[in-house]
Amino acid sequence: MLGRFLYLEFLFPILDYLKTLELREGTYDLGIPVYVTLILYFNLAPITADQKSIIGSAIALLAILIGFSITSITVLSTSSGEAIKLLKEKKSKRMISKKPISLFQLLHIGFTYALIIEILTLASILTFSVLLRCNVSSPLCSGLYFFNIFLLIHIILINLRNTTNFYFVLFKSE
Amino acid sequence: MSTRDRKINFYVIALSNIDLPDQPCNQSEIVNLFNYIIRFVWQERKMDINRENKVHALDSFSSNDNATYHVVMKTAKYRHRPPLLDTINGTERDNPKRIHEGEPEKTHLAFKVLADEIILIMEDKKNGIAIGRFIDYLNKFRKRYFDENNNDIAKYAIDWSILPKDDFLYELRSLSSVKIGEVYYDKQCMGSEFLNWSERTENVQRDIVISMRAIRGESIFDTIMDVYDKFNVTDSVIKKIRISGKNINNNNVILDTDLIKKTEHVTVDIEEETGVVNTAEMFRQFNEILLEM
Repeated sequence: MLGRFLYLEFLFPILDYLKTLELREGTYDLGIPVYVTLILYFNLAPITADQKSIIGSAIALLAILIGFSITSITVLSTSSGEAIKLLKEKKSKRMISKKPISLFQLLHIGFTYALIIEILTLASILTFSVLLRCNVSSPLCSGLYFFNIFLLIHIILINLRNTTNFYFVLFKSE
Repeated sequence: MSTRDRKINFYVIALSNIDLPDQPCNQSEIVNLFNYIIRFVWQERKMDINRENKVHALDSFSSNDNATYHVVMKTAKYRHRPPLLDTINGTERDNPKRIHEGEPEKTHLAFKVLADEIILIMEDKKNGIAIGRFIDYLNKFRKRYFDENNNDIAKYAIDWSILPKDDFLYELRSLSSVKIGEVYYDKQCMGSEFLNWSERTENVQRDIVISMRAIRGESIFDTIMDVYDKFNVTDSVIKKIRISGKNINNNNVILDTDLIKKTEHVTVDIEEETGVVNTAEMFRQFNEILLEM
């Protein structure tokens, strides 16, 4: 219903990512960031002025990672090597809409999800920055601060996994 | 030439080191043992079971390109010479057979040697040799082989187990106890689909094996049933289940999902004159079955 009035199709890659996530990948991509964020929350809250300085570094990091993800998707989609051809034919065990997807699609989902989540994180960090400047209540800022930390760790781990997967794909062709 | 169905049974024979049961043994030593036995003259090669008036002996041993091996055991029952009955007119006459003579009954066997066991096919013959007696026969010569050759084979015990032919689950339920279970996982379960795609784990030669042992006096039947449910689904990471247990007659039984075969009989040609099966034809069919396994 909401979709009639608002563009929400960017959620598809996120849902596809969640549908194709295996347990150990979920533990790595989501479990570790939650665990680390909780440790930081109980040791660092409430946030201090020094910690707020992370905003600048995080924006720079995300800009680099967004560039990296776009490049990866470009390489993946324009490559016509033998390995990529075989990758498109090789069926994965994962399913979307009860149909098995290819390993190529799985890799594509990984990179696209990473790119979307990086953009959303960038938006979240910018929101946090605006809230700080407007002196919005501390609990809301604090919550958003640690949510951003979670997203940053999540993005780093996803990029690490995507890069490793891409490495294995190219490794076979050698 | 007429044909006849012959029932066959499957067994697993394994040489195991008596002193070091966990140490792998060279299973091909069994071939040396047969070559050793066949050199003897009949008098030394025979095993006389006095209480049954039966003699068993290795009659022939040959290799089929070292892939499978063929064995013929000869059995004869003596001290049995009732008069002969003419089935046409009902008359009887004295049996010309001497008291120490008997009709030779051939039992055909074929085996192939695997890395850690030997798969044996044996003709099921009432008047021939049974598996237990056959192993006794080998054990008798195993000891002599050691005495004369000072060979390590003396340290080996020859164990045997039945390899059932029916459905795995049916056979599993018929066991009185399940002592050891081995679950073979696909080595690909070690990594992600991309790692498997890269074929980096190809150099891992064997699958991952998880071994389960029942505590003394207990059975792991329920555990194996649970594992079998997981094995019996599409794309299961479990490649094979192998269990050791005892049947109601207290015989060792090995159940292996890879080695369950439906074959129970072979159809062989019979010599019209003697009613004896054609050995070459029998071994040809044994070979086909063994090479499939």
